[in-house]
Amino acid sequence: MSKAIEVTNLVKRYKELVALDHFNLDIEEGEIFGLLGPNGSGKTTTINCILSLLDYDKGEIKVFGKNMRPNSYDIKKDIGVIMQNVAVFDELTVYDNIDYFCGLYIKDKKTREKYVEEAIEFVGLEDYKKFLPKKLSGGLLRRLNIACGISHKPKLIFFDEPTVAVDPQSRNKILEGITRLNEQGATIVYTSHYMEEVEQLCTRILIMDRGKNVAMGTKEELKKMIKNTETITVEIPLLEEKHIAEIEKLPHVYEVKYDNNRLTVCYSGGKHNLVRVLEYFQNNNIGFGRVYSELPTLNDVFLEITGKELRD
Amino acid sequence: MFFHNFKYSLKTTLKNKNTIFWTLIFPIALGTFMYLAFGNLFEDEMFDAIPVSVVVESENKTFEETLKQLDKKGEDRIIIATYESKEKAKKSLEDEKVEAIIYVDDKPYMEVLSNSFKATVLKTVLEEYEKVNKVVGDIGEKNPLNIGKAVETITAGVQQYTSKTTSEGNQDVYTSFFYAIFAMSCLFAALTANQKVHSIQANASALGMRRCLSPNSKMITVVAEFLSLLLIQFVIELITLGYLTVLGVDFGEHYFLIMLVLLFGASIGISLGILIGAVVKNEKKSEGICVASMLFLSVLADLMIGGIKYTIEQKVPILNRINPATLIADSFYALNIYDTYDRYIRNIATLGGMSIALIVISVLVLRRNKYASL
Ligand SMILES: Nc1ncnc2c1ncn2[C@@H]1O[C@H](COP(=O)(O)OP(=O)(O)O)[C@@H](O)[C@H]1O
Ligand SMILES: [Mg+2]
Repeated sequence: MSKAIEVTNLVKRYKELVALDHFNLDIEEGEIFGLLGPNGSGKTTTINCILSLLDYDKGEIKVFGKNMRPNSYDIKKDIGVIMQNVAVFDELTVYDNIDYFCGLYIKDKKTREKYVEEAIEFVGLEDYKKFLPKKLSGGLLRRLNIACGISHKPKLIFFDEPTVAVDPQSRNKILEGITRLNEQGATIVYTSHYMEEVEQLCTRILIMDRGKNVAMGTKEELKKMIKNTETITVEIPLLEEKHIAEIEKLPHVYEVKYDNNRLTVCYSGGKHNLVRVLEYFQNNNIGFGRVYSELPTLNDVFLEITGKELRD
Repeated sequence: MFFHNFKYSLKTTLKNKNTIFWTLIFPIALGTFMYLAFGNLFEDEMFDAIPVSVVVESENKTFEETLKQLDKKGEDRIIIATYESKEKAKKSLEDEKVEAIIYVDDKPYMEVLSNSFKATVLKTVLEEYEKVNKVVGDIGEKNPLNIGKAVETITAGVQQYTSKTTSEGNQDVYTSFFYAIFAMSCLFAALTANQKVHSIQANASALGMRRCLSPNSKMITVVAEFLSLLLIQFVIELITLGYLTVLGVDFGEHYFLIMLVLLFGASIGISLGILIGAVVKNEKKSEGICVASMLFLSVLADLMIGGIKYTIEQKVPILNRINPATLIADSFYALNIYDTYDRYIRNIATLGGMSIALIVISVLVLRRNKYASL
């Protein structure tokens, strides 16, 4: 498979602030690639540099194997972008907005008509063709924004936080749509600060923080990078100190916390961890309430590597 | 690609009802106001008869008859004569009760207080008499029958002079109001252009960012925006011109050339707006600068208050040669006042040249490919 995007040692400063610090990125064609990071970590900056909208201080950016420049029209024609902010004409109807942006790429009138209709159908705005943007709800507006970015059938599509401030129903539609676009052959770059979305959608994920690459891989690979493999939480009204010390000695346990009547046991590897800890309670006549076992999330990955929560 | 952009630029501008409404209503409302306020005033204004003292030094039948004729009550009355002694007459003049003393003599002469317009009219009375007298000779003595004819010729000459000077002078001031309205309405096309240009800049709007991502050159986009705005503004100016003409404002005979002024005027307004929009990226600031510069140019061109243009002509005449507001208003003047088109052509050419230069600079500024910050 060939590379859709290669970013090498990218440095971008906004005056003193270093927004991207020797950032590297490789995206294969056909992937749904996730850029995951908290607000302000540099996701949008990365995309704008790749698109040649932003000037950068150092580094190299290649798209489809060619150097990306502002006048690389042969590359730009295959790119579609859905920005963080809705970018449509307030004066134009849903149909005209999509037709305008499609027309910037597709010259042939017949083809264009077909593409516009397909885009409308794709985002489910068939009933709103004649509507002006201000008459659309937030979720529908986002969908129009998406239609404007994809109507020309680009090979590489950037989605910059397309689900921020979107109701759950529209959000699911958007995520489904992205999967469909990928199935139709488009390479997707998806940014978000919602780990669940990225986990659900992306084939590979890059976690970034303060303009730096924190970790990269499939979600399984990412989770393997950290010590934690399982976290068991048990509600226990009363637990003596000596028991806590005993539980710490159980196999594969590396950390035990007890506060607010909740016991949290972290494991690194091992099987049947839950059975063992419950056995211990029974043998020692300790009463307990609800029990949860959780596998590590990307938040745990982020937490363990950067020392802070992904979501603030 | 050009037509696609052009078509949608037209569409977005026309759909923006607010903008269109105000751009159209401004010249029409102002024009109607001017017409209602001053139109009748100038048309109906009559020549006020001039009070004079007449002192008879020696008899002159023809001249006395002429004075009598000019003193006839009615619309054409030119003088209000009081026959009195020399002493009394001098007193009246001193007290400014009369404008002049006319001495009836073989060779009539007069005494005036100031060199006013009224004094000039009276001077024509003497001049007309001289003229006729010279041609016909000593009219009264030799051929009493000719007196009537001579008097007629003299009064006609004087009346022609007064009617011409009063109406023409006022007409100029009056139509110049409308030229000012056109000049300002052309310049203020800058505001719409200014708004538009922000929607094609990545660092000014989300919309601009998306438009920058398309595989097309900035030049096509800018020129398409420019031409679509020019078309709309030109039509607005033509509607205004048509409306004012129907209303009864007289713009002279050169309608085609007037339209050309409007075309070039709209063009300079729009290109100024595009340049300001290209240089100042903050939308509110840019709009403010636009309004301020257009007002400033209008003031320098005497479009709102009088007197500055003249001072500029004395101190820095070049400013009057390049101020678009002055050039637009002056092109109208040049059409109506001069028999040759030199000045008109020079103005129009300057407007066109500057317009092209502004667009070229704007494209160069906008083409600045990447932005340091979005
Ligand atoms: N135009 C700008 N000027 C100055 N700083 C900026 C600008 N845009 C973004 N930043 C800063 O750069 C960092 C990265 O921002 P951004 O790429 O928008 O992050 P993200 O998209 O991940 O939320 C942030 O600290 C942000 O404050
Ligand atoms: Mg962002």
